[in-house]
Amino acid sequence: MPDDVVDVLIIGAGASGAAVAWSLAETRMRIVCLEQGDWMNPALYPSNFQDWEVHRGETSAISPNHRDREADYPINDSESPISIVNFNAVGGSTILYSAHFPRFHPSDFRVRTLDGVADDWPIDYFTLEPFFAENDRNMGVSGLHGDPAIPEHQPPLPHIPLGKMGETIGRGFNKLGWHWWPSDSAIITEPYEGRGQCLNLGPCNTGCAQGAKSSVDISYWPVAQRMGVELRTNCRVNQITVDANDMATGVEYWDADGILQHQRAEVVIVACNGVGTPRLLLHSRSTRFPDGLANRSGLVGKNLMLHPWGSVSGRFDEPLDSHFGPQGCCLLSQEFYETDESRGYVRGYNLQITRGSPPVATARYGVASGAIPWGPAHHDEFEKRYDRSIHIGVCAEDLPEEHNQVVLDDVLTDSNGIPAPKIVYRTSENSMRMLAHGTARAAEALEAAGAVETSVAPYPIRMAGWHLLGTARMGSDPERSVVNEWGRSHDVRNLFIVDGSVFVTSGGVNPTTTIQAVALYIADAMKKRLATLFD
Amino acid sequence: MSQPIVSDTLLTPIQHEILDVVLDQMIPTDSARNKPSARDVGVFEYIADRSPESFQEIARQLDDLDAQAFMSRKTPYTELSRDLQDETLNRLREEDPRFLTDLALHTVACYYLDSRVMTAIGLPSRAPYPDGYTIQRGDLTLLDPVRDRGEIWRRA
Repeated sequence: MPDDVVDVLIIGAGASGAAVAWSLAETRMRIVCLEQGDWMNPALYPSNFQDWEVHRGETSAISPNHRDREADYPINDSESPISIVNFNAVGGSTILYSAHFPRFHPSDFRVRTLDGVADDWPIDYFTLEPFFAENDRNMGVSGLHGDPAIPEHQPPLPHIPLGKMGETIGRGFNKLGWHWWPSDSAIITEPYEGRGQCLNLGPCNTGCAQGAKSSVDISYWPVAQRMGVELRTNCRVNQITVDANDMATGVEYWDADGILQHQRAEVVIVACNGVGTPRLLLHSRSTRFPDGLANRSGLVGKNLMLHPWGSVSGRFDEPLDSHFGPQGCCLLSQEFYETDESRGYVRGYNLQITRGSPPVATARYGVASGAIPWGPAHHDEFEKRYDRSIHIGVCAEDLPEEHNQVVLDDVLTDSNGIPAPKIVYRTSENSMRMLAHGTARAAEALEAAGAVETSVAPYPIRMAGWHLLGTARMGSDPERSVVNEWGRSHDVRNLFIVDGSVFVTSGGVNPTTTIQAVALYIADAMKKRLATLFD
Repeated sequence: MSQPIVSDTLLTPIQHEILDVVLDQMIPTDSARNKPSARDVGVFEYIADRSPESFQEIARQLDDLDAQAFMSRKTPYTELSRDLQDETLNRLREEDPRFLTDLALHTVACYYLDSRVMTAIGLPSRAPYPDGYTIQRGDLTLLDPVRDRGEIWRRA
């Protein structure tokens, strides 16, 4: 019953909300999760259809502004060179992510000490290490043991196939003497926990029809529900309510029938990631918190980090089977991950080697760019490009800057009248120098592998704001952070944040596995302190 | 006099005829590769199904082609020789690089989803799921130089 008091109320059923729900379920507390989206139906994912390449731009569009499903909320990104992309459903953005799953490095947690920039985290890699491993087991992660660029770990499943494409670019990296390795991938390469193995469908980032990609709707949630967690879908939270003692009392939300409800709770956990979380906190204003809940530091919404992205394509003169296999998962190179100030910037980046373009994308890009002409020559030029491309993404570490932030829009609202988030962001000089270096190195690697032509896209790539970090940062100083070193709000002692917004820095890799490791670590810290949780 | 556009008609018969010619100019038959002409893969139906609003602009641009043919050759576009059709089309594209670009993007999408075309380029004409594809696991000895170099992560 909505008027009951539940022990734990989680807002958001994405990567971090699912992990924390699963971890806390063993306490046998009464746990409810509210999710504004619904369950996805894998039978409707684009790869079920021959015309999947066209479907992907419709049902699986990555921008909520373009997609405009009932569960989505608009995002004003007119003051940012990078648009926010996400997905709202049970599973959150793991429904559309590519499942490229590298971990943060030890150095990522010590950037102030090592490089004199940003701040150190209050926790370190080795604190999170057991939770990385736990998450690998729960999600189903494939990889190859022995990567010399990261502390030793053993992914539970064999690595994703390299294919001819992976071997080709691997030889290129070898020519240059650079690091490369099959990337850890949240995709199961063998039957696992009742799920079928990867069939190399290709378009993982439109939703996996096979269920081999480890989105949390098919990994964590079925288990958490069996353990007793209640998941209410199509429920959009309006605000978190508090009492005169600065304790959260629950949340006000619209239920699936559009009726405004109040759910009381002993503990509230926010898991809406780096844009949704500050939006909710900033909207949860009260007499006690006139600038937004848990915002006495003034840092809620600030220090937004987005991973400015570069993209380089290489064209080869032989077929590479390059568009088969998990689209975003093949190899990575972390040759330039750590700081070398002779390069003209601090910190570093990951090179994510992804599969080539399928036929419609090849033809559309070729025709739009003029590379594939109209007329009889169309066929020759298409053949030179189709199945012969390799793409490299450059994921640049984004340092925290307070002027990069999420605020509430003055005009734009969602369908419930809640103010939309507005992104105020500019790409730093350091990031631009890093992208210049990274795109040049990516082109060099492609040429070493035999590319006859390379193409660098203008950067930062606009439609690439997947990684939403830093807007409710973690720290021991209440003046300089929003939550403490185990995720509890400094201002509201029964309010926790477990998503990417608590990140102090962004690392230079896709963050989902680190987000989930942090969520599991916070859940573990809560379980260890149950008797004194609010002290 | 052109035929009037009625509410349930996206293109006039003359515009349809011009569209067929233009589609064949964009992607003609390639017998050696067993690839059909774009005029034979159902482009009109594809656009009508997915993006009927696109025909407003496409129809105007097809009319522009016909008007250009009348102006320069005193002949309907469809009755010009292929060389003169190409010359007319290229002239309008040089004047406006976006001329018929929307049609071209719809056309290539429709074309490369056609079963005959998929087969011609070596792709099974089916959805990826449930059969999937096979790719080689890869030669892991290629990683020997990377292993031999030893750890490169930074101690912290």
